[in-house]
This record gives sequence, C-alpha cells and structure tokens, in this order.
Amino acid sequence: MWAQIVSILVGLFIMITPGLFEYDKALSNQNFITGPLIITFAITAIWEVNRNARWLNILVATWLIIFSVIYGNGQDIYPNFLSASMVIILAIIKRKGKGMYGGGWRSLFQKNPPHAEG
Amino acid sequence: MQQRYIPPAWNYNPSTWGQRLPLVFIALAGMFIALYMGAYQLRIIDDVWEPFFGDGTKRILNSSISKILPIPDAILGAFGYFADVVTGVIGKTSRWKTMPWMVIVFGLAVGPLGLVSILLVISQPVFINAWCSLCLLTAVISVVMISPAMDEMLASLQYLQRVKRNGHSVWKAFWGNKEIANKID
Repeated sequence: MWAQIVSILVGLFIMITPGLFEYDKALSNQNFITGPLIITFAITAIWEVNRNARWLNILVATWLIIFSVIYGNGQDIYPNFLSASMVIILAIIKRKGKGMYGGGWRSLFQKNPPHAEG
Repeated sequence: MQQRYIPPAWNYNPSTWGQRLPLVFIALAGMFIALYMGAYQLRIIDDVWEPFFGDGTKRILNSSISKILPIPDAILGAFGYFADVVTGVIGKTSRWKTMPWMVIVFGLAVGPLGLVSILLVISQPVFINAWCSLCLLTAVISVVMISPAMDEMLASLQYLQRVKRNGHSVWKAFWGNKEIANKID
C-alpha cells in the first residue's frame, strides 16, 4: 500500500514538474497526460482486488520516458526520468496478499477457478 | 447471518452495507459538487469557488469542451453520481448473487464515470491551459470509487461463471432468478 501512496505523490510531482522546470507545451502535455494516469492506477491498486492495476503504471512511466526524449529539445528532462523510474520500481514491489477474492479477475478466464472448487 | 453471503473462496462479503455505504456517501458528495458547478454553467449562480488557480475553474466550466453535449458536462456528471448512489443503495447484502444485474450496472456506472473524470482532468491543462480545484476533487472521488465497486462486480461475475459451469441459464441468473440462487453457492 505504501508503494501506491508514494506513486500517487510521484504522480502529483509529475503534474507540477512542467511548472517547476518551465517545460514547453509539447513536453508539458506528456506530464499532464501521464501524471493523472499514474495517480489513477496507483489509487486503483491500493485495493488488493485490483492490485494488478499497478502494472499499467509501468506502461505509463515508459511512455513518459520515451516522449520526454522525443520532445526534450534540450530541456531538463532528468526530473521526468527520475519520476518515471521511481514509478516503475514502485509498481514492481509486491505486497503480501491477505484476501482471496475467489481467485481474482483471472479466475473468470480459468477452466477450474478457485471459487468453483469444492 | 452475514457469514452466509460470503462468496466461495472469499473472506468477506462485498455487498455488505459497510462496503457499500461509504461509496454511496462519497458519490453523494460528488453529486453535490457537480450540481454546484452545473449551477454556475447554467448561470443559476454568478460565481464559482476556486481557491488555487485564479480564474481556472471559470475558464474550464465555460470552455468549448464543457459544451460539447447539449447539457453542461457538470450536470451530466451529477447524473452519473446520482446513478452511482441509486445503484449503490438498491439491493440486500446478498445482492451479488440475488441481483447481479444491479451490481453490474453499479460497476458500469462507477467505472466509465471514473474514466471520463480522468480524461477531463487531462484535457484541462492540455487543451484549456487551466486547472479547476473542484473538478480535480470530483475526479479523485470518481477514481477512489472504482476499486471498492469492482470487488462486488467480480463476485457477481464469478457467481455467473459458476451458474454457467453448472449448466443453468446465465441470463436468468443475471436477472436474479431465486431458484438458481438457491442452488448455486
């Protein structure tokens, strides 16, 4: 859970980075798109039933890295690299699960789902 | 009594009031905030509260994006939250199996509303170059509701999966067939 809360804070930082480092419009837009998405997936992953939502943050953070390079044009893009790397590391951290959720979302695609046994 | 309605291979019942009422309350809060912004868009009130971003809220609430549909987007949002409240309240604590259709409508009301909120948050700085505190607050409300609503939906979908595996009509079970609900856990 703490990993998701830190991800939310990093997502907020991503949203204010363009203001702090005076990014141009094209680069700012990457932050304004990825920041809210990172916060959304981190909040969703706080609840154990949807903790796999955290994997989506790896995609979003990768987007931020790639498009920071493309739209960088000599601007200070290291804050974006640092934030995106943190989000990726935080997404990989696995919390010990307590709930069972009948096998979770993947059970819906299983032949013998845990909730139908016994 | 509650024990009876815990879905198989779960350790709690996602349809208890303790699980649902917090969602209903924050959806109500979202509805009132959206109504307040909608009242400004309809010019029922002349001013709108904005503590951080200057005239940001006004610029966003008067933007072309907010007028894409025939009714102001905040009013549409208020309808969405109202749908969350209604579909969150209806049904007993066994509704994940006795009323799957209501649980799934609830999940569909919460999910897309959350998605639309995020798209609106992204569109604020990207297209309008402005921020709006109350819009951000309602977006957080929408996003916070997603996971707690999804667990109940998962329990209903798993129930329908068991219904299918046992050769009963998924269609009837979806609409809350009691005979099937009594046979299948």
